[in-house]
Amino acid sequence: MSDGGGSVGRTVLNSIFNAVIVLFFASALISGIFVAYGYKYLKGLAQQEIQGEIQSLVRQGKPYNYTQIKMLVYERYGLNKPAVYRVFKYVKDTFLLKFGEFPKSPDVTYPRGGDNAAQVVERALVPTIILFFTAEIIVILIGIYLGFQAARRAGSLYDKTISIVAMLSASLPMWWVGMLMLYAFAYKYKIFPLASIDVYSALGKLHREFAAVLAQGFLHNPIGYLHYYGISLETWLYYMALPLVTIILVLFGGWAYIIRNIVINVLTEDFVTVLRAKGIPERLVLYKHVFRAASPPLVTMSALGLVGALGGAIITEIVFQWPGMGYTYWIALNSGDQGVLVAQTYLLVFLFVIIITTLDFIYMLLDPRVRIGGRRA
Amino acid sequence: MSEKKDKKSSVSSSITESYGGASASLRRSLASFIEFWNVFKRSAAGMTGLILIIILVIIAIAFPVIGNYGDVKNWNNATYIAEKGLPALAPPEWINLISSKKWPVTKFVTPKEITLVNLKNIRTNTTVALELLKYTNPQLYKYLSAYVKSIPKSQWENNPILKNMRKGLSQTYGDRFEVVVFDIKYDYKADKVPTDIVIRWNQKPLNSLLTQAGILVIFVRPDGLAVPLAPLNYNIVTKLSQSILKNGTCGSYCAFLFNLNNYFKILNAGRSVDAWSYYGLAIYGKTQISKFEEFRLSNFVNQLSKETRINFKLSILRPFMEPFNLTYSPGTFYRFGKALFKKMNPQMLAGKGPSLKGTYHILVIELAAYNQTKGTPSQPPVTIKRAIFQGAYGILGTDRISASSPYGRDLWQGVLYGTRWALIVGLMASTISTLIGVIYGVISGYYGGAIDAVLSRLAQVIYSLPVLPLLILLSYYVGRSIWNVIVLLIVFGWVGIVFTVRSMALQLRENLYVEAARAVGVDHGRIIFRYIFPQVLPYTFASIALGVPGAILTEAGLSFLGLGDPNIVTWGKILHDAQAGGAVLSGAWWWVVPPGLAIAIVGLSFVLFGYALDTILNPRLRR
Repeated sequence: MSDGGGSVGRTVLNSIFNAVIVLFFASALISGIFVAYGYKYLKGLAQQEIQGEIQSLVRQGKPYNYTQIKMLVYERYGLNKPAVYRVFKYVKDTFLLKFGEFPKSPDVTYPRGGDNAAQVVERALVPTIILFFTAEIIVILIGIYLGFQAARRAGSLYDKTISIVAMLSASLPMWWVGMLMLYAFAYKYKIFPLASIDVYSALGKLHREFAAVLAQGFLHNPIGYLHYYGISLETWLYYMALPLVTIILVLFGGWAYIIRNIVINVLTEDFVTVLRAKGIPERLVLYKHVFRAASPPLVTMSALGLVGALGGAIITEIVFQWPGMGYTYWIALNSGDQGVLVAQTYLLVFLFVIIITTLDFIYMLLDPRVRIGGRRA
Repeated sequence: MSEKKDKKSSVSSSITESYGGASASLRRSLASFIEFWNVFKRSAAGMTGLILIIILVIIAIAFPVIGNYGDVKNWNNATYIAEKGLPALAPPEWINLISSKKWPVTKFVTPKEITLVNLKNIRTNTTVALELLKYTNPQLYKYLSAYVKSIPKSQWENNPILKNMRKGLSQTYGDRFEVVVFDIKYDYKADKVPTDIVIRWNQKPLNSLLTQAGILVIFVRPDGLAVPLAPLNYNIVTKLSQSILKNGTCGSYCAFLFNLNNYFKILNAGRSVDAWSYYGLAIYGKTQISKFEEFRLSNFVNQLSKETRINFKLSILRPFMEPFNLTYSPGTFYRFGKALFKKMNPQMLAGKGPSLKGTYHILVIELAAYNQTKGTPSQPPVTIKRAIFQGAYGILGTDRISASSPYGRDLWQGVLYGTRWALIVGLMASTISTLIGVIYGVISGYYGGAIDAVLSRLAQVIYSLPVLPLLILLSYYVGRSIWNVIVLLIVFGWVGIVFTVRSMALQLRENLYVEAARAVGVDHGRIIFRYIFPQVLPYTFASIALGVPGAILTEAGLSFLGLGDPNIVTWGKILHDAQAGGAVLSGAWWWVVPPGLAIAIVGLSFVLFGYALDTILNPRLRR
C-alpha cells in the first residue's frame, strides 16, 4: 500500500501521517455535511431547550428574558455564529473525539440509554466490539485451518468446496442470512431469543441476584464467583449466539479462500522445496515455516477483510436488535436524530482507521524486509 | 502479426483508408474475441455465470411482458393496493406441495359469480305490519294479538284500528320492503382455514324514497348449519337459508326477516345504547355510506374477543355450543373464524379438529324499506363488488403493507422487478467506478514523479475511508433517489482498482513501443489511451464483473436501512419492509427468502463470470 521505502521509523511516520490525513478529511466531510444539512435539526433542538428552560423558570416563579435565554442556547449550539465557524467547531470536536459536543434529541431513547451523543455512541461501541471481534477471531482461526488444508490439497474436492463456499458467501448479504437464522432458530425452533436487545438488562438482573456473593470477594467465595461467571457467560452466549454464528457463517468461506491463495503462493517458493527435501515433516513445514512467510500478506488481507465485514456486521446487528452501533444507527435514522448519526459515523470511521493503521504496524513488524530496513514490495 | 495485417489492409484499400483501418481493427478485435471465447467456453463456472447473467438481463428487459408493471408502479399506492385486495402475509400457492396441511388458495369471487337468489317486494299489508310490530313493540303486539284473533282475516284490511297501526308503521319504516339475497359460493377443500373473508359492498345513501337499508350476513356450512353474524336464532336462520338455497325463496321464513328493526337500528340509528347495534355498526359498516365498505370476518372475530356484549357473542357462538352442551365462559378467546370451517366437534371453538370440506355459501341479505309515495326504486340499493376468501397467493406469496393493514402486495412482481434495478445499480456503479479508477491509475503510473505522489496519496486517503458509514450519512442527507445512491457508490468505489492499475502502468511505460512513441513525439494523451489503456482493458472487464456484487450488496444494505429510493422497488427495500413489518416474527419466510436469494444469485453470477474472466484475461494470473 505504501510507496515509501526506508526504515521502520519512516514507514511508521508515513502511516500515522496517512491516518491523520484520512481522519481529518473524514471529519471535515462529516462536519461539512452536518452543518450544511443539519441546521433545521439543530434549531429544533435549540427551540426545545429554550422552551424547557423557560418552563422551569416559570415553575420556580422566576422572571425570564426570552432573548437572553435564546442567546445562551444558540451560543451553546453555535447557531449565532456563521456556518463556517460551526464547521470548524465540529471538525475540532470530531478530531478530538469530543462527541459530547454533538446534540442528541431528548425524545429518542437508545437501547442502552445515554443523555448525550457521546454516551450513546460509546455505549453502543462496546457490544459491537465484543460481538464483532469474537466473531472475527473465530473466523480467522477457522479460515487458517481450512485455508491451509485446502492449499495442501489444491485441486481436490475439498479445495473446490472451499472455493464454492467462498464465492457463494461473497454474494450473500450478511443481514439477510441473519434474518434466516432468526427465522430458523428463534421463530421455528425457539432455541434463541427473537431479539437480543435485553442482553444488558439480563446481565444486570444477574448481577443483582449475585450481589450478596459478589460482595464477599472472590477469595471468600470462589465457587460462587465462578458460578456467577458461568451464568454470565451463558447469558451472553444465549443472546449473542445467533448474530455470532451468522457473522462466522458468512465470513469463514471467504477467509479460507484468501488464506488458501496466499499459502499456495508461498508453497511455490524455493525455501519450501528445500525444507521438504530436508525431510522436515509436512505439518511443521506448513504451520511453522509457511505460516511465518504467509503472515504479512495475511495481516494485510485481514485489514481489508475486517473493514469490509464491519459494515455488514453493523447492519446485521439490526436484525437481531443487538444493542450495538448498527442498532443505534437504525434508531437514529428512523427518528432523524442527526447528532447521534453524525457522532456515530465519525466514531466508526475512527475505528476503521485505527484498525487499518494498527494492522499496518503489525505488518511492518512481521515483514522482515521492512523490519531490517529493506525495500517493501 | 497485427502490424502485418494492418499494412495489408491499408494497401488493399488505399482510397478509403480510414474505413479500411477501422475494418481491420474490427477484424483484429473479433479475432482476439474468438480466441478469448474458445478459452472461456471451457470454463464451466464462467459459462454458468454468463448464462445466469443473460437470463437476468432478459428478465430485467422483458419485465413489462412477464410481469405486471402496474403493481410495481403503485407499490406504495394504498388505494391501488386496497382496490386490488390481495391478502396480507399470504404464503405462495406452491406451499401445498411441501406442507402436509393444505392451505386454501386465495379465491376472488366476482359479481358475475354471485347469484341473486331471491328478490321479493313486500307491501306493508297487515300481516307484515303485525310481524313488524312483534319486534318493534312487543307489548303492543301482545295486547293487539288477542284483539286481532277476534276478527276474521278478511276484515283486517278495513279494520280501523289495524289500519291506523299499519299507517303508523308505514310512516316509520316505509310501506314497501325489499329483500335481495346475494349467494356467494366457496368450494373449500383445504386443511387450514382461510386467513380472512372480505366482502366489498356498497350501499346507496338513504333519501326520502329509500328510508332504510342494510345487509345481514349468514354463513351456511356444507353440513347445513347456518351461522348468522348477527343476533339471530341460528335454528331459524338454518331453515331460512335452506329454503333460500333449495327453493330460491325465503318461503314461510320470510316473515322472520322482518325482524329488521334491529338491523335498521344498527344501520341508521348510529351508536345507540343497544348492545347489539354497537357490534352491528362495527361489523356492517357505517350509516349512509357512499363508497365501498368492507365486511371482514377478522374484524368480526376481533370484536368477539372482547369481554363486553356477552349476549351478542353468545348468540353468535351458540350454534357451536348448543350441540355439545357447552357453556359460555367469559375471558376465553374463541377462535370463531377457525370454528366456521371445522367439522362439528366439542373443541371446534378452540380452532381444533378436522376441517369441514365442501361448498360454503355466504348469504348476504340486503334489506331495504321504501316509501312508495315518493316513486319506484330502480335497482337494489346494495351492490357487492367482490368477495375474497384469503389464503395462499401467487408464486411468491404476499407481504403486508403495514402492521395493521389487511392488505399485501404480490411479492413475485417485486422480486422480478428488482432484477432490473439490481442490474442497473450494479453495472452502472461498477462500470463507471472501474473506468474512473483505471484511468486514474494509468495516469498516476504513467506520469510518475510528483503527479504520481499526489494522486497516490489522494487515492490512499479515499481508500482508507470506510465506505458504509459515510454512505449512510450521505444518503441520509442527499435525498432518497436511486441515482444518488449510484453516484455515491461511484464516488467511493473507484479507488479499489487504482493501485493494481498503477503498478501495471508503471511496468507498461517501460515497454519499448511506449518509449518509441514518446521519442517520435506522440502526445501523452494518445500514448495513455492508445497504447497503455488497451493493455489494461482486459483486466478492467474482470474488475467490472467482480465489482457488481459489492455495489448491489451495498445498495441493498442502504435500502435495508431505509435509505433507498422510496419510489423504486428493490430487493433491499422489500427486505427493509420485511424487517420493519416483522416478517420473521410472523413466520413469513416467503417475504424474506426470495429477495435475498435473488441478491445472492445475481452476485454469484457476476462472481463466477468475473473469476473466469480474471483467470483468462489478467496477465498476473497467467503463468
